[in-house]
Amino acid sequence: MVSPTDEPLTPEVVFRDYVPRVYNLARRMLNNDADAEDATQDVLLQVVRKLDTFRGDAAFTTWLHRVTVNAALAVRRKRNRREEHRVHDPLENFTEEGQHSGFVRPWPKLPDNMVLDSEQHQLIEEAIGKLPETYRDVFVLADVQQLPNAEIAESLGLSLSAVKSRLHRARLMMRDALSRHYEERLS
Amino acid sequence: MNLTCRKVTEILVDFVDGSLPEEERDTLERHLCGCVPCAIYLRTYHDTIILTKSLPNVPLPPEFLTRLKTMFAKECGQQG
Ligand SMILES: [Zn+2]
Repeated sequence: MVSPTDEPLTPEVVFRDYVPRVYNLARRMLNNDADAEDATQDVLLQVVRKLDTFRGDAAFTTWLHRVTVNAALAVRRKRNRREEHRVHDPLENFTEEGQHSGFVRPWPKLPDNMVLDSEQHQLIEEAIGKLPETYRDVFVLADVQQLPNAEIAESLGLSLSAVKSRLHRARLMMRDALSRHYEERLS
Repeated sequence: MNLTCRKVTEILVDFVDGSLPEEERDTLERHLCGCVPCAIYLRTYHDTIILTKSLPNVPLPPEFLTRLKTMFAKECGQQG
């Protein structure tokens, strides 16, 4: 995420620094390009009304994230397309005694400055799209957008502990999904 | 106190964000030293976070961007 620039919010700054993150956040939450476009459009209409009151600073980014989350949730409600992905619970991969029930295989070492190739990019986007919405929202805000847990809790109307527990569950699901790819690479 | 591998997995979120109480952290670290599967699990949990963080933003579809810019200019005009 680009850090706030403290520049005046000219149309150029809005389209360069903020529109991409609005669109990408909405797209990842909604897992649908057309829905993401609707949400982005809603957000931009709200931005126009605020152009004079905000600069491109931290207060604006916080406000923008909240407005984007609300717009995405509103589009989701309107569509009423309950896409419930069934994902295996990673915490079931243990014996009754609490030991790992299968092999835990290592992945290849990641480079220090990780740059994803298009195959990895697609793989991760797909895995995010398959997370149940409850977990996906928190995961996208925390681990993709890098927002602080407190901000996420406020945006989604959750307690801090609920945010952390959903984030953890989402990471475990993501780890399982990515394992299929990264374990193979090693063998 | 002994931790099961399942319990280790449950508290990884607190371990990686540094919020695990010291005593529990020591117990977890001892477990990791003696348990290869959990050590690998922690590393891949961490890798999952790194990979996700590296995700770039995708550009907006060009025709949508054009539409958006037109709408924006029009709305700005109406705002005065
Ligand atoms: Zn273990």
